Amino acid sequence: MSINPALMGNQGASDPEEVREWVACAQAGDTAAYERLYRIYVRRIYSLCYRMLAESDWAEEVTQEIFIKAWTALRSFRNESSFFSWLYRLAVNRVLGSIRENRRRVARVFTAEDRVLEQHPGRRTSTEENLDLELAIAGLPERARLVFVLYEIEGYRHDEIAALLGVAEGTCKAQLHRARLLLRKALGR
Amino acid sequence: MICNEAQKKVDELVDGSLVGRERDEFERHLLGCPECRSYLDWVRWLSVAARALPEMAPARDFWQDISGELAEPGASVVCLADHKAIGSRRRSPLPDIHLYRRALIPRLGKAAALVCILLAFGFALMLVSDEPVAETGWSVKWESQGGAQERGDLAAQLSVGQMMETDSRSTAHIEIASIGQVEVRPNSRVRLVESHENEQRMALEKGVIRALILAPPRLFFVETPSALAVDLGCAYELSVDENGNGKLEVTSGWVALEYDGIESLVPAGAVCTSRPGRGPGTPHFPDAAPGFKAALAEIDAGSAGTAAIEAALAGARLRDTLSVWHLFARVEPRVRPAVYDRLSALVPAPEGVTREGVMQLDPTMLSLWKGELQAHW
Repeated sequence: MSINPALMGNQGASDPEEVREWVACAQAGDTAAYERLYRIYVRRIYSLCYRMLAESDWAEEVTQEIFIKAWTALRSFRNESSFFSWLYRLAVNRVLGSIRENRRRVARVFTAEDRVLEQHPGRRTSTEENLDLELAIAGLPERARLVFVLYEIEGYRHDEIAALLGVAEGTCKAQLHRARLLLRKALGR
Repeated sequence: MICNEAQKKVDELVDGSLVGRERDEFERHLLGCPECRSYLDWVRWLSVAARALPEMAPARDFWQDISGELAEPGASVVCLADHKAIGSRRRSPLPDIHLYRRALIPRLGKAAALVCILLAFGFALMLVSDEPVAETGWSVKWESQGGAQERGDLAAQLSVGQMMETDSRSTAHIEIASIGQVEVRPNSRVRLVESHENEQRMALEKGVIRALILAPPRLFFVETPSALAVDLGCAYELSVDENGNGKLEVTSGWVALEYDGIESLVPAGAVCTSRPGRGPGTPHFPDAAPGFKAALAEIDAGSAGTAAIEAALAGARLRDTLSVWHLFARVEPRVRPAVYDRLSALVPAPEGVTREGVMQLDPTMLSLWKGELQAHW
């Protein structure tokens, strides 16, 4: 996986040395230091959750769970990777766990597939295009959306996504192809 | 090739998993299939747009909710006397793009590690620079004929200033930061010149590369002995022979070839050659008439007389307006009226374009006319 630099946000603007200090302090129980880390990464983690779950309330709930879980697991963090990589991996696993635990909610989300068939013709500003694209991604069927978000936005490779989702690599590729076709139709391209 | 199947090949092409003969066959298909080219353009746009999506903010700040769940012995400890302001320093370019790949490189230094790893596997890689290893670089995967494909997961890093060379049996696949891939064909030598968020630049000293770039225009550059190839959002093959002569063949999108104020804009399906000291020639489509191409070669060599220019103009088809439009900047001012007359006979100059302006090489007018012509390229 290569972290998408466009989505590094405040994480990219923070000093790695300072982050390491805050992590060390948070590991020692300093909640003020942990709040620093939270403020650096919360938008990044929320964006990941929202795009994978396609529901803002659910994404907020899971974002909170992730930061609480990360706090309790913080002592297991060994500085072998960056803190962000560790948090990010934990976040992806928690989102996928939440999907497995909430099949009923997932089913409700997927009835929104019709949204992806809406047409958005005409020239758009980049902000409108972003909004259209976000809506279209949110309207994708679950598998296609997860693969698309992890591959195209988050920079995972097919073999990594296959391992995360417990499917064959070929299935990932097929879902990505499906997502691209559905998004093309949705955006009228 | 059936297009439904071919469009899946687009995915493989973009993902970098389509290689060798299959890729050759597919690129030939692309040249003749507007539907697949359109799908390739869509996938490229989508990839760039998806990666550029901004961060989202939750509707509210839920730190209070979270902090209430954090209580544990020692939670009130403050171990930093002076918490510094977040983001007070400038970010480094392309931060941690290759987190996992970096983790694979031993601490003895990336350059040395690269040599050790590749020698151990008998691959033909030569690092010929003593320059310090930079913070950023491109990841490289190797493919070799004769059963070495199993080792395709062997990863290495090419850092700024480093050069690498493939032998007659090996191909290197380079991941260009997060913006695309370059396949370095056998018997080629390349060097990484720059790698930061506003510019990815390599040099092709000899051999052949195939590039597929998913990025905004003018982010990826390839230096050759005869011209600079500037990505305008595209897929292309670029070759350099032993004498430094270059040849560019564009599969998708656009590439600009630049040298000393001369620029050739090369669209999908067109080719353009370049020579050291002379820069890029006139781009043209390979299916142009032999006489037309021969006349262009004379013009590019600087040896064309009036007869050759007249032959080129007379032999131009509608599609060859690509070449004719480029001739304005390549012929002497006294010949420009003849070029103007021929081009306007093929596609009339649009509103806002005057004969006088074109004679003066007015860039706005030339651009307007090009906009009209592009429908035929």
